[in-house]
Amino acid sequence: MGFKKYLARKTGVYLITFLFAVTLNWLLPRLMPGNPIEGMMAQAGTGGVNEALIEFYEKLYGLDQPLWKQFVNFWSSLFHGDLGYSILYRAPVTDIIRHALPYDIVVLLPAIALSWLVGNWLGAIAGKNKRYDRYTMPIFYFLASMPYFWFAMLLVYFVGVELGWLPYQGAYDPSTVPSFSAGFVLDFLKHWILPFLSLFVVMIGSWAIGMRNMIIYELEADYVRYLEALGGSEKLLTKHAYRNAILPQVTGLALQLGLMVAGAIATEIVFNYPGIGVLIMNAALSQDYFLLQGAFLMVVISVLLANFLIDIIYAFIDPRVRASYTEG
Amino acid sequence: MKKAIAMGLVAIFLASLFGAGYGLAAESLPRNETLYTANSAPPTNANPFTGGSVLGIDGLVFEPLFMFNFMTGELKPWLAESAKWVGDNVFEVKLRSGLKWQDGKPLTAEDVKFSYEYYEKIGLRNWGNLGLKEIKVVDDRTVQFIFEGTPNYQLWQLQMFFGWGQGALIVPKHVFENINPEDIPKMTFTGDEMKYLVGSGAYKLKEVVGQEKAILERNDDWWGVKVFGKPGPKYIVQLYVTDNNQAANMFIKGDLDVGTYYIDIVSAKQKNPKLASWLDKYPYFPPVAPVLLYFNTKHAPLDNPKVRRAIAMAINPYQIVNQGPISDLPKQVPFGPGLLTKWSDKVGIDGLISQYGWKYGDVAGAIKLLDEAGIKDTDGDGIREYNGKPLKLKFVTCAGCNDWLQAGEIIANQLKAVGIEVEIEKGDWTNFFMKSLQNGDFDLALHWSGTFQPSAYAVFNMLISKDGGANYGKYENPQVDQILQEFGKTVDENKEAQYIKQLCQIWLQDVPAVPVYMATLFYEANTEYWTNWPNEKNPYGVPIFWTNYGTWGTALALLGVKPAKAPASETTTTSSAPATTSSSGPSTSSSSESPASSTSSGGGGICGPAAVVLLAAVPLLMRRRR
Repeated sequence: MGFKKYLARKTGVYLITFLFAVTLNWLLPRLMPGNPIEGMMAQAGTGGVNEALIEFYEKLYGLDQPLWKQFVNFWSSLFHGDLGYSILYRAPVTDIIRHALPYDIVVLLPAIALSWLVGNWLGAIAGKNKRYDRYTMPIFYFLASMPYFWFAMLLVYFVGVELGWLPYQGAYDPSTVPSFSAGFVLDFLKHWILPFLSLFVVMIGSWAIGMRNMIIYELEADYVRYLEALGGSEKLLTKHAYRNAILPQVTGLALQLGLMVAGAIATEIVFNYPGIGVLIMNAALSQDYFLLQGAFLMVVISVLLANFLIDIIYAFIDPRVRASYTEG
Repeated sequence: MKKAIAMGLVAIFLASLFGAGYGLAAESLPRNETLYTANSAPPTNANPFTGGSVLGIDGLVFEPLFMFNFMTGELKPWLAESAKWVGDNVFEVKLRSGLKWQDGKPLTAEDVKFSYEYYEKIGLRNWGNLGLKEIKVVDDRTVQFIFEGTPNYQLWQLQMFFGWGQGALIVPKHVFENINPEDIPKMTFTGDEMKYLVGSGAYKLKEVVGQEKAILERNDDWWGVKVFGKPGPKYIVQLYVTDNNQAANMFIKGDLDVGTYYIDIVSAKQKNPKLASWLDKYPYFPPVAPVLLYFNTKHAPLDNPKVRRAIAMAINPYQIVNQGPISDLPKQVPFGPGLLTKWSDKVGIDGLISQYGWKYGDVAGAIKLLDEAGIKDTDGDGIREYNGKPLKLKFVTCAGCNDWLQAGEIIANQLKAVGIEVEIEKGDWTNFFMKSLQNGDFDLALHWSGTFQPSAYAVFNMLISKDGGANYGKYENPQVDQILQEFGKTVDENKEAQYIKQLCQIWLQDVPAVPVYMATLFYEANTEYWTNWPNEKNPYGVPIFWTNYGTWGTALALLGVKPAKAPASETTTTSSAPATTSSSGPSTSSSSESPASSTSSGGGGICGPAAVVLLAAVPLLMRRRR
């Protein structure tokens, strides 16, 4: 009853947010000074014959039309599932994103999920155990404040180039073509380890710090003191504190997962890993409206979806939220 | 729990591979039959008309009538056996005999006619601008381009090979006549559309993998085997590498054979002695075109040739080459090494320079000229006054163009020595820099687009003709336009030399712009697997490994490389193919693939998580004790 209303209201809010965000995605790149076609010509380094070519390409991308018409065209093609044609890469945007996205997910999803699990676990222990806390906190702070591309570069240099233990560039060996053979999967995994590690290790730090602080706060809370006074076991205390402390971490996880489709630009550059981050960066630099729109559309959708799911999940894992809508 | 995560991970890998839609059987290309190159843009588009992002579509897969060698300025007959003007307005191309498409059908004059017309139908070319009226097929091997009036022979010559907005590749009529030319601009010619890529060239596009690489495979049935010989590499793989450091690592390890990347070639050579470039000594990289210092000839006092000459004299390119960007010394004429090799002796460029030119770094001479022009330092602050105001020149450049910024600062210092103040302003490329140039809102600027041109005619036409595409200084001289008009009516070398001589003389006397340094391209080649790379002594090909320069000489280079070792019979196609390299002697550590290192690598990979687990285990043990 109440839950349905809650769901309907949330859905409405998210829909409006979606329309607004997508419109901004369309508008902002176009407000940037400059013209992508002229930029393309300037990069090609040709003079003279350009007028005809500029006209040709502007017509091709529909950039010769008035802005309001471009906007209408954008929405109509969006509902036909057409994200347009990239100016920079000269291929359909859907193709580009479809090829790049799996690589990001393969690296980022395990890195985020595992670092969340491990980080929360380590942080919880640190929050309870002072002696352990003293040794591990500096490490966590070091990890959390370490720029992840720097750590990635260290990995490339020492593990990849100097020691030669692991391949340090690309998603698989240059001489192979993706396939389902055992050899390729093994090769792929070998190439996956370093980018994964570079993100995983660095992410542990911030999750652990967050969890540790929350646990300390919760262990001081009245309900825990009361439970302690009643003679509850240490295990029971921890269990209750942990459940409350995990809530903000869940929100953080959802946001991280939502942003996953934006890729990890620096990691992709350092490991030359094919992903969407570098695409977005290049698209922004060369004002590739269509690729930017497409990529940010993915980001908007996944962030909203993640938030939406979290809103729903919260209703189940946090009794306070549940109470607020069933009573109201 | 952990098992579930592990399972989940495996599922994600498999799902993502499925999702990407790869369905090829396992294979790995034998290293010593494969040439690896790379580009900073991913291969996404193999369109032979708009110019895609796959190296070799122009030149290796589809071919032009003539190949151009940018480093020597020479046009090499390719599909055409010969071409000449048989009348004032009729250009006749005679094709070679025995030309055929990769599907076995013969390549005839009909295909040539079709191709040139098809480019126009797509909207990419307007041959009418050049006066082309009709393309006539005379017989299977002869085609005539018929013009209205007398065409510009010099500009038409540039349409024999393919570039941005210029020329055409010959495509098969029997394939493309069924495709609506309006569909072409948005076709990528990858995936299903790859079937249309029936070229005539030495290679076929075998596969484009995602945005990661393109694989070309040799066409052993190529018509050119008899004429030019069989190309060396069985496969040419184009990888996608954005980062210069990454490329440097790959060159050092021998994973890349050739490319255009800005790497520290000296230190890379120390780590991998098999690396080569264009020159054996500084600047190592191939010099290609002079960078010009433009004067805005509409702004006083730069409208005075004497003042321009004084500035030219005050500039010292030796200092720029030594302290500025990687570069070489320029000549005073706006020619790169290619055009210099071609014309130096025929025109007598050195003689012209000593007769009409100036002396670089001649501060005393510059001061004398400025004094003569009546621009003197009247208030004694070290800066000359012009019409009562201090002579301050605005130098514009793009903020990201580090080479130009460096050179600009050196030039500013050099001009200060003769009493001219230079103010450097920078901004983004399109909106600030190019806009300033087009609107004439500058005094001085550096650029090379006018000198990075295929012919002497094109250079002067771009730089000093009234509407020249790179005449940023708005230099006007009716005499130049007249000479260019005459120049356009001839393809006779002796006459050409005559006109070039006249134009060089005007250039040197009038100083519409000053060459300040010879810009280099980046080029590194690995001789471990492939040798006979083009270099200064053997410039049979062009060291530009970018897309869309295929018919400017890149294809010639890729067709000219030879295997470093005779293709042995030991090329068993297994994943450990590079094991053969161990016999080649000193420290060729391509270890990432050898089976021995792969086992150790597994250990290395587990190390990280193991450390974390260990870290976590310590407090657990401690807690038990409590």
